[in-house]
Amino acid sequence: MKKFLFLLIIVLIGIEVGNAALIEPKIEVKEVKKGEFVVVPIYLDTQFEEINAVEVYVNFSDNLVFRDYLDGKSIITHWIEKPRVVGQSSLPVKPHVVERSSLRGKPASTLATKRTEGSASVVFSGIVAGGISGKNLNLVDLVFEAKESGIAKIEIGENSKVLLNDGLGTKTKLIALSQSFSILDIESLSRSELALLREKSKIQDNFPPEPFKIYLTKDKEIFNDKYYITFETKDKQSGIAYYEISEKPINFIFLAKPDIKNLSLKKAESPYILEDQSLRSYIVVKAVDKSGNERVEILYPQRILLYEDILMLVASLLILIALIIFVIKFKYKNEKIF
Amino acid sequence: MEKILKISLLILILILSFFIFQKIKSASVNVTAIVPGVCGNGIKEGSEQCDGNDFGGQTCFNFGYSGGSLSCNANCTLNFSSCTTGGGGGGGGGGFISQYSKIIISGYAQPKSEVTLMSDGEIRATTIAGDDAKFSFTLDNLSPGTYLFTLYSEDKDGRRSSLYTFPVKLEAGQTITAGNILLSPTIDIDKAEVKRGDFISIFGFTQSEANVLISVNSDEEMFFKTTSTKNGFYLYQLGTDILEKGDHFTKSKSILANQLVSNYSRAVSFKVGDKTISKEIKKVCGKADLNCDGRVNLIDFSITAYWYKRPLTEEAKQKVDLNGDGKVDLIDFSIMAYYWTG
Repeated sequence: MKKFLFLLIIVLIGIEVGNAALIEPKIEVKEVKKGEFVVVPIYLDTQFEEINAVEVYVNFSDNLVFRDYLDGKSIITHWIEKPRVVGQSSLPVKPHVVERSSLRGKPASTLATKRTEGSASVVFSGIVAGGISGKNLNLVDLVFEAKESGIAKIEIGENSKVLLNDGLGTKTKLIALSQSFSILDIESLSRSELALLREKSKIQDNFPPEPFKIYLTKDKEIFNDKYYITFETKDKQSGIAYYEISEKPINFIFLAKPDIKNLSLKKAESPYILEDQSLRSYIVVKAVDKSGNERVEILYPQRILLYEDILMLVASLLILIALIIFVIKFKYKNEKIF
Repeated sequence: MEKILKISLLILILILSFFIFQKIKSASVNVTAIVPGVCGNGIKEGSEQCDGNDFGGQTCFNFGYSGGSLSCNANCTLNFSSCTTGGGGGGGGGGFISQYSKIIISGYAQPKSEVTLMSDGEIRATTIAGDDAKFSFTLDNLSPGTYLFTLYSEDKDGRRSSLYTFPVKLEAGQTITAGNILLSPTIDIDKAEVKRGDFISIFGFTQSEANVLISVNSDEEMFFKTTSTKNGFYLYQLGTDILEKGDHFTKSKSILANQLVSNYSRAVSFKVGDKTISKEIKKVCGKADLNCDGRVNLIDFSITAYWYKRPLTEEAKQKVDLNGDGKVDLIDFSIMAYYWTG
């Protein structure tokens, strides 16, 4: 009977787990020194379901500080919210001595516990346009700084959501896993040595960000019906650091493309409300990745001449014609007199 | 007395058998021999990872491999033994040199249809499929990294196939070939509501002379089979006497040369009721096409993102609240991702 019940429980767990997406942090290191940076890739296994939207809460213990994120390998095509910290950490920090023995082997993933009220989390959300199914799908790499010694814990919050690609936004079941690693109380390197180490550990990236399109639009309910542009690109190695924009008024004499090297660009984000609402400017958007590689895209002026310009041109032409007629008539009159 | 009882029982069994036979006979009209929900029927359903040649649009790429082909075990689980890793890379040594990668994508859409290729949700190229429905794309100068490629086609009447998406990890200098991709059929119906017992036409375009499997979902899923003509057109006249009154939806998938099975097409809905109403052909903005430009892309995403977690005006409720729950949240973005065209 006991055997039967055990089998039944296994089968039921199997059914429960079989149709659920799985999100887990995959930490490759077992132990780090105080002050070092740890990259925590967050992976998704859709378990043969096709999904298209995620909202993920990554809870972390308060001996860690969230520093950055890398989205070059991410399957998320469009971010709704990029990774940011919410709340105050209250996940308990365990002394590393107690748990060190358990960290000799590969750090084991465990089922995440219910999110502690008020604990610090990194939250992010985004869509995968067209949907995706598969395993080992990278959502994002989170970068933490190891602040205090002890056991550091990263867990996927149970309030995270994964939605099916069914046109209805149906929520699928979720298996949220967690992982731990040890922060050693070893006097870490000096600040300058750490900075050098971090510089060396940066991803080698000689490739520019991906080509992208600048979309021009306006909507009567958004930004007071003003024209704005929207754009987004990816960098497959180090990730996008920032965007810069310049609006260069059209040169009527040469109608030439702006000289990008001599443009004064300013940092900006998408969506961006255009300063030149007459749409007679070249709009230059530069995407810069975290290694300084650049990709420049240009949106050409949508209008060359305005209605007022045409009126002015016609009026000028009429005045010129009238002037010519007047001069000819005056000359003809004078010739007749003599 | 015992003899009479025995004869009565025999007569009763005979009458019952006759009624059961009649019932089975009437229920089996138009229904093909496909047994729904069973591993081995050639259709991936429910919790099955695959069934025969139907992998539900999944390829080795979805599981982190760089090529090869999936196969299906007898218990409808995926077999990765023919998937390959690595290979195709070149060069190397002597410092860090930028080496671009290349991908060749080919397959079948509908004859003369327009095929669109997106990477990471942005249109990268379009082409017109040949008379044999074949299409091919070559993308080079790709920086190494993970890409999400998406394909869809549009038939001559503007109907779109469902999206076919696969992730690919490209190493520096590598060339990857993703071939034999079978895009789903396009689908439409001629009636919005059909009187129970009347026929409804389910039609669209797919590959030339392909088998088309039509699924009709009501309380239980039913399957019907037809074949496409040389120009890829398929039509199935569905008698609605076998359907209950109420809302139903239908979708289709194609089977080419009994070897390649496509994804399901988009689903179209219809109602079985007391009257027949033709489907109106009216120019309306498509679902999630918020600015009504015929595409669902970054512009629509930015409009939705503007209203994310903001109180909605009445006009915004009509436009951006795609599931009608009075707010813009992850569900609305998910619906938008489903209808994405780039």
